[in-house]
Amino acid sequence: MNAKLKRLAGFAVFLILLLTSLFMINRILEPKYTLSNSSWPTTSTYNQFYRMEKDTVDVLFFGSSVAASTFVPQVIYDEYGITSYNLASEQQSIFLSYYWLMEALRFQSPKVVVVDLEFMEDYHPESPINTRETITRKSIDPMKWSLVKLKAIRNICRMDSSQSLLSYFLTNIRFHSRWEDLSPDDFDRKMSTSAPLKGYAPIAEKGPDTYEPFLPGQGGTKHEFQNLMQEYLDRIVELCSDQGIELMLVNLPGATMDDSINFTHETYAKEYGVTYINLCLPQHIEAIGAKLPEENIVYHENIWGAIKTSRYIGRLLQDNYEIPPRKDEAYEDSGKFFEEVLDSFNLTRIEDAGEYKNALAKPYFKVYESEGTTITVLGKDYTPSHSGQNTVVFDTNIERVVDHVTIYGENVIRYKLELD
Amino acid sequence: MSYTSFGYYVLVAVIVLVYYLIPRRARWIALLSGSLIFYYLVSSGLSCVCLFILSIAICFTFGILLEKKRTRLCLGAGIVLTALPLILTKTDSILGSPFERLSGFSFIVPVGLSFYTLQMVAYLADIYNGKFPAQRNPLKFALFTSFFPQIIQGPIPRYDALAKELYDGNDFDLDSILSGIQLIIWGFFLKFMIADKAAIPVNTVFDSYSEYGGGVVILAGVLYSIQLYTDFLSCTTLAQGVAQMLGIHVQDNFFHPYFAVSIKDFWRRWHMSLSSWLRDYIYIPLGGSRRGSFRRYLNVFITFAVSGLWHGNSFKFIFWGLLHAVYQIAERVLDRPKVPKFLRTVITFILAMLAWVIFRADTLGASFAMMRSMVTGFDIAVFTDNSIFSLGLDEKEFTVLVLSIAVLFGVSLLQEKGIEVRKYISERSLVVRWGVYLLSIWVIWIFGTYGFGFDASEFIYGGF
Repeated sequence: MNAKLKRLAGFAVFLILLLTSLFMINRILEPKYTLSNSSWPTTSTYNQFYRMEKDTVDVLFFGSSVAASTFVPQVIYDEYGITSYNLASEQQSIFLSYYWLMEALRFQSPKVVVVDLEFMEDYHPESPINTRETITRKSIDPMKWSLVKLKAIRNICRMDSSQSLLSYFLTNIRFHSRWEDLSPDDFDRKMSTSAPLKGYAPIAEKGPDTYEPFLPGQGGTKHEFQNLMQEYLDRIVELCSDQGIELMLVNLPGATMDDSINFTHETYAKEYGVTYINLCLPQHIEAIGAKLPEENIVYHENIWGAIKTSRYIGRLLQDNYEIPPRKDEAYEDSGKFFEEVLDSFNLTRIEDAGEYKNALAKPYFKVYESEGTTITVLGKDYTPSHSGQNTVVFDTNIERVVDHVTIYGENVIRYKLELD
Repeated sequence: MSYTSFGYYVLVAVIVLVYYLIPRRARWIALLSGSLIFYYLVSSGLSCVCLFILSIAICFTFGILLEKKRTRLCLGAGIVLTALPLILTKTDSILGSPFERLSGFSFIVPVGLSFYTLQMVAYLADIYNGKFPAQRNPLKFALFTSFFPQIIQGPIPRYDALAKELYDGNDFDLDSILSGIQLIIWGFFLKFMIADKAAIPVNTVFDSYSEYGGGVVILAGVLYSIQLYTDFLSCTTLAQGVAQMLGIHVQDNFFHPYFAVSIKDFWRRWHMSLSSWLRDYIYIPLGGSRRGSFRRYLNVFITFAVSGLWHGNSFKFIFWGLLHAVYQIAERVLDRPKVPKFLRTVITFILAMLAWVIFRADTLGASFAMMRSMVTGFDIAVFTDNSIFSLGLDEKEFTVLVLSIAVLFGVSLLQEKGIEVRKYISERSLVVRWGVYLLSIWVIWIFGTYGFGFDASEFIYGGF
């Protein structure tokens, strides 16, 4: 009997070992989107959110990549003392925004929720939830297990028969073929759990030379949005109302806009007693005061445009909702990080060789140089197409190459990077 | 639900748990209930289940009748009525579906029809031959015909070999459980690491063979031979594994067929339960080799024609069967030419592989075109210029496939020499044993071909 029990216990130990190891393997195989490998650092954004102290965030932002690249919580905190977190993510449809709002409310008690309405339109008719499967996984996989996640994946799989419910539990079903693409990021938990920018996704691309603000006409007709998006916007409104949260609906500059869309949103906001701000309108564009094309505020805003828009949004939040300023260590600590990220991005705008060399003299830049030959950084080759000093700049904060240039005489000749 | 699905193993876990929790004499009821639930879950509709139950009822009744009145008429009627769904489906299909065209209805094809029909025919014939008495309990007979690990793809069981273990109830034995799990891991290795991985380049080439040179077509032929073997072997292994957990022994269906030194030897090693069925219920009743050379060859032709027809619903499969008959007769006529064993093994593999090309190609014409291409369009460069990595498996995946085939080859070689690899591992120290098990599971978990992004092949023999 004792021998039998001993064997059964051994079997149980083996099972525990096996399940633990498979869980760890799945964690490694799951894709991780961080500042070091993606323009849209969804994984680290959500993981960092869970690390925020409970009930310390006053404003939450939701929306697609347009929102992720627009709202800079650090700027809003620095300027107005308002603590906010940007939970927007790539292709985040209103459906996904709803579930992330529900999830966020398990940990935070925001005073205001800001939702970008861009994804009220049907941008992905091939997907019943208006978000491609891959991107849905980016948004849902990092969510902690709870009834909220179970409801979300049950509804996703109910509506989209191409998705596998089981693969949300056993993620190897979805991601095991990533074994060929594993990188050091997949083994480094720090990179995927830390997002000092609090959900903001910085990009550097210039915008168009000009932007024509939206000039509303007289009246308008009702616009029919995607049914499911409308249903889930209604749910967001109801949820915020139930929780006593102020809801601010926004359209950002560059959004799909015409009289009927503007009219429908305005009417809807009035009907449900929520705020609607259409930043495509001239008065808002003027108030933001961005200089195109360097300070892009059209569609995917660049970091310089985003700073200006965030200052404006911060002011609207302060004026409309009277959110009292607060001092929060999490935001105090990340201020320096944001400045250094800004330094990285500023570097990519410098065209004078002397100024560039001076700007490189920062402890968080690691500079690789060679005379006209290929430079290999972290296994990747950077090859100049011009003669001169071939320079690759690696930012140790965000652990990615931020600039690749050839310094030729007084000039800086810049190459396009993959993450641009 | 399939034999590799998560749901199936949840069902298996429940059946195993219930089986050992209830009193021993009632354990067969757990098996029957599990088998019927499984059959319902894999069937495309209730009509399929009803037809299956009707076949069971017919066979059960004729079993009892045959015991009382052992006449050829009774046996013939029992066999015809039991096999009627299979006969009608095959006939209609091979004649271009005239019934479907005329009536607008299509035949209901219950899951595992080809397998359980042969199983029932063998049961009736064996009662007629007085090998054992008929089963008197219809539910116990239903369990014999529907035993879930082997209902879809065999092996085709014989009543006298399986019934006792099914009905008597087995004691819980951790060794049986562990041995079953070992077999299941090996089954998954064969399916996910070899069969489904090989299926990717195989499908690419067979679907558009004219775009590829002879070298690639040969590679596809070889890979298909391996795919078919490992796919079918994995299914048998999974069936054995699940049955083993219940203390039930399911017979072997393969014995390293590609080590065969002749086609005759190949059929002793390939799909052994079907081969022995064909021998016992077709070839020997026809007279076997007892009535002179002509009748012997004719019987071989008839037996392999039946085999071909059983495998598929078109003349292509009959041709494939007849080709194997020709191989066997040619071997006999040539009377074992004096060539080294290794060379005979290679020649046998090539002959079997060419036959498999007919088996897999869309049409007979396509298979001939592929064989022509193997000879006239052969280009060795495809194996050195990386073009094989554009067939759906990149270099890393191809490497995994080749290494997996090497593991299979190594294990088969050891087994051929009489070494039981599972037993050998079981006798090692705890660290080695656990290391091997964990490593095997990790390898399949990470490198296997399954899940999202892969159109994982159903078991090939499940279509028969």
